[in-house]
Amino acid sequence: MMRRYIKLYFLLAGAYVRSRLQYRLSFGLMCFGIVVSEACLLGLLGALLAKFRTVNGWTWAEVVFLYGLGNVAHSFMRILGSQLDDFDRYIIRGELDGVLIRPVPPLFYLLASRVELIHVSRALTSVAIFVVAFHLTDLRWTLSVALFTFTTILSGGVIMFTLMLISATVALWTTKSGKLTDLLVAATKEAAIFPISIYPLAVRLLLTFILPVAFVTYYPAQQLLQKGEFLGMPESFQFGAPVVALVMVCASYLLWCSGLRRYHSTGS
Amino acid sequence: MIKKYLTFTVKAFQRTLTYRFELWMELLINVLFMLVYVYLWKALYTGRTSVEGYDLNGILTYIVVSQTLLTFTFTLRIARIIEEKVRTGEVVTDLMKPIDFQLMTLATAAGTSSHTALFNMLPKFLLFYGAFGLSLPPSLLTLSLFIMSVVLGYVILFSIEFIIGIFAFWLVEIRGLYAFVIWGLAMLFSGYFLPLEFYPTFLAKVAAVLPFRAIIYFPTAIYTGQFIGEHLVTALLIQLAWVGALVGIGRLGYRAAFRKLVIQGG
Repeated sequence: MMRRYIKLYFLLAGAYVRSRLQYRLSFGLMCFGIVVSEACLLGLLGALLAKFRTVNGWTWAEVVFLYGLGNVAHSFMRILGSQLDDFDRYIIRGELDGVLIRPVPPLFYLLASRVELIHVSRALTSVAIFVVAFHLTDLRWTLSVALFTFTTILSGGVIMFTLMLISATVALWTTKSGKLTDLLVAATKEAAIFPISIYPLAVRLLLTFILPVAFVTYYPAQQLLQKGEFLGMPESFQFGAPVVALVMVCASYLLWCSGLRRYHSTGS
Repeated sequence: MIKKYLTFTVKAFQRTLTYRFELWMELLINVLFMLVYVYLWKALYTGRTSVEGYDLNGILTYIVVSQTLLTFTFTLRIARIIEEKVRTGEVVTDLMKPIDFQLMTLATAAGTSSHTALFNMLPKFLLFYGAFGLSLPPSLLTLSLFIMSVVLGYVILFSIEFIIGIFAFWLVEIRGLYAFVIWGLAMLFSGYFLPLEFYPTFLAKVAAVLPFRAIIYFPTAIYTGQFIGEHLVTALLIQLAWVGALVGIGRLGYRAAFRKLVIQGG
């Protein structure tokens, strides 16, 4: 059963990747564009912190570390969840009906039938940035650090993915979500690449409990960088990422299912 | 003459009105984006009074105005619309109409964007203006020059997207080019993230020969009073020159494109 799904996933994803590779020039330019834009934001961040030295006691290397954590998680999620970018297209054009009658779970089919390889370039850039930041912060790879980092990134990716899924699911009720999914995740990622101590309490609570991206970057970084800034939250939050990821998976999947149950075609 | 183009503007405006929920959510998320930057700058300025000629109030005003103007970049999807029209062959129906393709596209974009300006940018700006006690332009004259500069910047952004869209006639797929120019170059050189005064010398020099700074940095610097007198007039002239050049390139581009047009699956 499991093997069948894995095989199916690669079959569907492979077909999409092949179709995208038909336009090689565009593909190459897009990869290049993504690398450039990632490098640009980092460059601007660098220019900024060269001038100001620190943000709330966080050095340039530490901010880049957060930036790397957030971006690695975000880009892995983008590779696997490419389809959710403009999910509303399926509803507006009535194409979701076709997905629902296939003999596999709809969510599986959707995710497998579109895997954007261009985001691989984003992921590679992010990993490179993260590795550099890791060394700049004087952290050394030990088994426990490596395990913790790996779990953090995995949980972070899952948290980002569930946020994307939840905002895409909204389209099942509203018909259109437009750039909502993309924007929501981009905005929360942007918020999470800076130490959340710069925000007022309300925003910190939002990023901790409602759009829990602080668990992707800030809280795990407390453990890795030994900053000890918990801003009145329990210290155990530094280990909270996997738990939050699990809760988010359950919540988003339940929401997805109830959305599908009440879905009725646009009939166009 | 103008009336038929205005029809496109009005129709595009009305079309945007249809999806209210989406617009409200977009506004909410934009506000979150802006909060991030406003608080980042507040944190950076703790214990400082003035950096590169901007005090805290000045920099917050800059950030809010530039982030507000950035909304145009997010919401203008002209390149993608042209690409879609080329891919589906729908562009043929546009070519049969007795109207100018570039003007029609601009008229449509203006409709969508005036909706964005009215229901997204203005409320967003007013919210931050009130919440953080920002400054208004120094005089009524500056305000009107600012608006003029915003319009010129908008036409520059439009023309760049239009040129990217025209590439679809040759490339069919232009997402790559779009990502490179808009998410790469325009983001780096438009000055949306920080004023160009903060850029390292090398980057500032590159920015000076590209059109992107005329989209966001120029109008914002006029608003904050960073550009005055001769400086301001030069900025507007540079914008005008870019408008002329880019609109011209766009026209040449689509004339060449229509000559070689092959409709897929038509």
